[in-house]
Amino acid sequence: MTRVAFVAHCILNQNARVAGGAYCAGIHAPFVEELRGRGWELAQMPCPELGFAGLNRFWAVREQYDTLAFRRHCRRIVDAVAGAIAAHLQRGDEVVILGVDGSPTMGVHLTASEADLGGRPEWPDSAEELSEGPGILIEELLAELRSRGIEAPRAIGIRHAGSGPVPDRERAKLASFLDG
Amino acid sequence: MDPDARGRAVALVAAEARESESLDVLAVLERCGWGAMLLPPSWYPAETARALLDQAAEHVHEFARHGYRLALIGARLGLREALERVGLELPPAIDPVSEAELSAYLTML
Repeated sequence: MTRVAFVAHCILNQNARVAGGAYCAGIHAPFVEELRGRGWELAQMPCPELGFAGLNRFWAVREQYDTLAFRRHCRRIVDAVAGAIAAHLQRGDEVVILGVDGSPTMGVHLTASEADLGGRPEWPDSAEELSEGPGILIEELLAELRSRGIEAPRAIGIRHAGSGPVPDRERAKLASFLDG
Repeated sequence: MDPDARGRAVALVAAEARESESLDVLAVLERCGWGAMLLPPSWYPAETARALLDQAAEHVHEFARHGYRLALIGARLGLREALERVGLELPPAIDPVSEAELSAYLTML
């Protein structure tokens, strides 16, 4: 059986990340190596933030992106991604989704959240940056798959941030998930 | 973390060009500091492929607008039209046969 991981855009292209948010020049190798080393083929989801707010966007939280216009933008993306997932499933492939926890849009289990963030891009001193729950695009994608009667693939979010240059803990988490 | 580690170089990679016995495209891109945009494989349903190519073209438009280096590795039917819909032409393209050839090409751009 072919195994296909639908990965967040920035895992293969850190150029899509917000200024100051990239961990390397291009491909974030640890996660790509882990997937390919275990025989997973890669499919890449579009970056909802890049397409909507561009390369010079500020760092943002889920609440800032949670507008009708951004939801429409995400639904346009997930319509295509869900079509691709459906095509793989019809072929008998195994599919997983790899998001980026902490992202306001691509988080799977954690998303950047702060209701009062706005104006100048500074975090309130006491604010928790992360909250339980998905980012907006992942949420829309799972809803789109449900609406098509497609059982949601297993999904995991890795965090780019880690102690040291290679996020070993997150890579181990991904390996455990893939073995799952 | 570097204040801005982005390499400002992105390669569009046709699915059929990603791997062969003599060439691992993603490994070369990683070594050269290029990001990758994976294009949909040719067997995808036409409507799905067109939508994904349109979204890839919009990303390319944003990278081009900011002066990023761009390249196409392999070929993908429909990409030219998707780029034309956002006012762009195909980026410089290569269909490499070896990692050395691809590496040299990316370095030259």
